[in-house]
Amino acid sequence: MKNKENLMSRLSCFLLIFLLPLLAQGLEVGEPAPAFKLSSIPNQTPMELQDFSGKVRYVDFWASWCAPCRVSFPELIKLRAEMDSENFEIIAISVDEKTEDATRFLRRFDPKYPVLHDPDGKVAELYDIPAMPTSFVIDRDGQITMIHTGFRDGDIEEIRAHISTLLAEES
Amino acid sequence: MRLLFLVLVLLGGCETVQPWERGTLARPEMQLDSDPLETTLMEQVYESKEAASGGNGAAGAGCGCN
Repeated sequence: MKNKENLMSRLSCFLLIFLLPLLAQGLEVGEPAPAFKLSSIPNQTPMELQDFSGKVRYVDFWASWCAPCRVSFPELIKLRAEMDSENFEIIAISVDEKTEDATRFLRRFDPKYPVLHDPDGKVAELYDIPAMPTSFVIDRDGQITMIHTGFRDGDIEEIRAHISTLLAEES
Repeated sequence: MRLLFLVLVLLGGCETVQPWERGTLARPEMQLDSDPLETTLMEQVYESKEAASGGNGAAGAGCGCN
């Protein structure tokens, strides 16, 4: 009987140690967007999320090796051109380890919005991104209002509608 | 019990590669393919004959999204 109790307590201990990390949850809609500060590509200018406070922000985590990012970039460039720059900004964050890889990718698309570099993945970890690409729509109050993972044809319509609604509500 | 302990300790050594860390895994030389050139040629022939492409493996360059 004593052995059985001993075994059960040991098993419970192991289960707690090994299963607890699985219960860790990422960011959710409605939570405040964590602050960050990163260098821009290619100028190495330090920028932070707070630099764009008061605007609706679309934070896009991408990488040069991520195939859907090749689909998302042209769509986001178009979206940025359509939207009012006073109230909306796209902040792209590259998780490429090497700056050259990100620069080569950017030469192909030439986005007109800030691109930051997170080579150690610290901000990606902070936002606990579940896939590549992952984007977060942040409202003027700094709350996450949408989390979008992956990028398929037609996804931009859902994103555009969401941002338009936010801009209409808050203007 | 010892075996269970050993298995659990060994499992502790496993680490998940996070989505933002998959750059190296996405490199062409990391694909499970002994002859990438031949595969590319075969895919070209297949696409020409079937007028269809894709569906040959996990899409998304190892990023785990699409």
